[in-house]
Amino acid sequence: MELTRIKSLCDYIEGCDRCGKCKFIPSERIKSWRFSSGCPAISRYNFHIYSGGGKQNLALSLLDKRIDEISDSVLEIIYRCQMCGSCDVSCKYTKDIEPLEVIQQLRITCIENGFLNPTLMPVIDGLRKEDNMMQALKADRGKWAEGLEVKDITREKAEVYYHAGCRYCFDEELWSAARSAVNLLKKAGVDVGIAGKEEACCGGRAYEMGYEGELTKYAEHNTELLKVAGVKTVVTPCADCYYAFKVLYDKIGKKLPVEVLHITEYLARLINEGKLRPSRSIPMTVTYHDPCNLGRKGEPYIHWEGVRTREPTEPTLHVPPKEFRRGTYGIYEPPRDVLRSIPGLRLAEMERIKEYAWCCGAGGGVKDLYPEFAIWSAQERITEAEATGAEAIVTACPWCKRNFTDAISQNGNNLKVYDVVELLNEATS
Amino acid sequence: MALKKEVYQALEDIVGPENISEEPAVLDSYAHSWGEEYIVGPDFRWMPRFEAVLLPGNTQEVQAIVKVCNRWRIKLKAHSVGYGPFMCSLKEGCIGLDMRRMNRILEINEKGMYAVIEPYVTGAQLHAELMKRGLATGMIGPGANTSAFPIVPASGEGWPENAYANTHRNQLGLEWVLPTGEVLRTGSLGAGAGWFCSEGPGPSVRGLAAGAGAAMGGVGVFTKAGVKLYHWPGPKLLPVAGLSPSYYLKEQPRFGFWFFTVPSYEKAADAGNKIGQSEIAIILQKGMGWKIAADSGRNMDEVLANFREISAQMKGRVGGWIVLIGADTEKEFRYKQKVLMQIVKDVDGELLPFLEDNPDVKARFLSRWTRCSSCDRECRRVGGGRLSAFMTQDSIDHQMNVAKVSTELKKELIKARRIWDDGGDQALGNFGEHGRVGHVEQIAMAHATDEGFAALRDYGQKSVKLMSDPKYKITGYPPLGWTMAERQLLDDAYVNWATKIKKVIDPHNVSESSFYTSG
Repeated sequence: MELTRIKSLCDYIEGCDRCGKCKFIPSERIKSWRFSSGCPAISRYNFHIYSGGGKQNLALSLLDKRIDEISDSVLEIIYRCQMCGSCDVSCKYTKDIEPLEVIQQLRITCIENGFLNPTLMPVIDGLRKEDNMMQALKADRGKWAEGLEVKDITREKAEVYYHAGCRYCFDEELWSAARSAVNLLKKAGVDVGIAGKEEACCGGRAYEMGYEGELTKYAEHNTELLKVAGVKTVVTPCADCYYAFKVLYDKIGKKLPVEVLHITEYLARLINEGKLRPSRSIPMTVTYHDPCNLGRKGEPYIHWEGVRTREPTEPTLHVPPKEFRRGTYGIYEPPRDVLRSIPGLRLAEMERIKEYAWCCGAGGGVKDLYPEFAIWSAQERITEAEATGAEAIVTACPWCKRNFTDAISQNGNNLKVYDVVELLNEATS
Repeated sequence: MALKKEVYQALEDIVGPENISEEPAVLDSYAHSWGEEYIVGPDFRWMPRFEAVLLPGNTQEVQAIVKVCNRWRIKLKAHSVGYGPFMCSLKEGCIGLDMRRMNRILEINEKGMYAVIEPYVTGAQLHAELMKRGLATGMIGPGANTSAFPIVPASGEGWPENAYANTHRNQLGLEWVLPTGEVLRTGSLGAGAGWFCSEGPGPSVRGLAAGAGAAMGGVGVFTKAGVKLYHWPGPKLLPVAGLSPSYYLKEQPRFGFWFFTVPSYEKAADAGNKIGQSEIAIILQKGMGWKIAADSGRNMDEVLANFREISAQMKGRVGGWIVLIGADTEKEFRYKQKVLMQIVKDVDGELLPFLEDNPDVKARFLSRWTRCSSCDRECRRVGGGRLSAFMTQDSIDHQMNVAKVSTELKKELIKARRIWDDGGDQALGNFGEHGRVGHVEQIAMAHATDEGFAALRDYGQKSVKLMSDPKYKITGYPPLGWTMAERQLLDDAYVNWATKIKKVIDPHNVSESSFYTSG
């Protein structure tokens, strides 16, 4: 097996001492036994290898050639993980290592060495053929916006490009949220346009599944699209797209030449500037779910190039010093600010919030590969939401919304699910 | 040596296919931990693989597994959170029991001041639930992320033991699956009277269960325990604020954190005894500059810069004591603080300016020490190798002598540039039961390389030789030896007796006991 990628992270892999902190939120942040776990994979499957630390063990085992190939069951272990990054931020509370990056490179290594997950192949084939992760026809991509009377940036100039993302474009049940966002932008007088059927995937989900080439391809495609359209800002209601545009493109050296904002950031700005005035009361108690890719993983990428010293008389240092991404600078306040601006709406927080939010369960290919695990993870979050006394769980990502909705539908529950934009749209109508 | 198909099937029938694995990658995740390089020698990084790992969900399943092991003469080794090489097996042909699914707090009895827990409940989980009820208990040395189960920890030492006792002394009724597969219920539990007491009727078996330094899976599987609870003077919820990794407590009225240095080890002993006897502290911890530095930086660069500053401020004095005080009333807090300051004055102590001049930094320590969430920051932050030696449990006077002697040995290795130059004395340990007894271990760190580990092994072996030399007057119970040979060298009688006891309760020798006896 070609293991160059993993070998390059060997120092970090060896830095895992099996303290187990990756399984929980940080000790000081624990408020109860019930909601103290952080990682869905270890919580569901229990063997240590499912934890962030366990994946570091797996990488070490490969490097030491104790395992010389990825068996089907090991592939399953690698992919029974939402790539949510909970292990990463909990670990980095005390350590200077990179657990999530090791997991990411493990997945890319699997793909590069031909260890492919057959269930994902139709998804990736669909992406390559139709530019979306939904196994749908590219020609249908713009249907969600029919009748909206919004500019098409492939034909007319607009200042702001609204990128709906694969899930919002093709999941008809969720179209109201995607359309609400456009209505709000128009209501605020924003010069906004969409790309209709010419919109393409961000490549972020494929990257998390281990398909690095797809991220590069779509980074280049989207950069070109934005350049030609001449937009100044790209706004997306999808946390996954936000993560790809803002973080991953920068990570691979293809930072977008325009401002990247999540819709909640833009809406909070419009409310703050007085361009949107939510006036209609929504008398409801809600709780807000931080999407992983908008929250802990959504903070800006920090490049570092340098060496790690090995002076015999001193601990290892990063030269120059390395700043670790700990999830602290994700997009946490804008969605909350939008909710707080709605008259009558009461926000009740869950125990695990912001960088320590429990994942909705849909990420990293889990929704496609292990739907039962995706629903199990969502149900855990729904239980936590219910404990706040909220009538609804509100999120800012179509993948979270879909998975919560599916879990509630399967398990039977009265909790409502909203996207932030839907509530704001109702409050401003 | 893989398990025979029929054995695997018998085990799978007990826990279900989801809860057993013999996948090599899964097994490897139980064959690697910090510290094994000192045990398995030059071929470091990996301990023997288990033949299979199981995740039992209840006592009945554990019992059934143990019976299968007896029937087929297969060794087994159980662990809770698995932080440390002791979770691994040193013998081939052993199965592992990861107790992760047994993670419930079964009862918190506020009136009877006890809780009943399973092995995988962590210190942080239990503390969070107890705080809400104005209660607390001990927390083991490795920190809040590790098991709250009172007889799991080596030697029982733990952070708040000054007020809340050594963790192994907090064990009340115990449910114990013996190596034969029988379930033994000890203390009041055995008499059908509940969990409230660990002793009687009849002779206590607490010593048999825990040994001197924890049984390390060597005498069967502990499945439930009663835990003694104490009064908690703090808030119901930790008021944590700030950004990772620099959390601090927004406010914690009537709680305070101090670190002070002293001119000599004799003065350190004097101070520790006085603080203990005055019964003012929740935590009484042998302090060290590295510990303060490691907990104050965002990364190793900041940690090292802070360490240099702290070392300069310590001026070669002895890293005396870290003290956490809590009180129910302002008056009580003022009194305790006044007593502490008088003791500091009496022993020519100096509070560390690094903390006293930076209330924000001090507030971070208040957060970590209240939840006992530090530990691996101090020793493993950069993935270097770390070895603790001179691990003893004894009186404060004895322990200060250990700190003194061990520092000299360490300095030789630092001078030879074989380990990191951390100034020498980085002895750490918590002292319990108002200064009656305490733990000290002298940590040394080096890079995770062949040379680094060779230096640390050398340090460990020299420490054992030195401890067995009467002229250094180091006694106490056998430390948590890194190898059985080291343990035997230090206290042959203890190991021999433990081995005899083990033979009685484990006639087929199925409970893998390499970290307990040589049996």
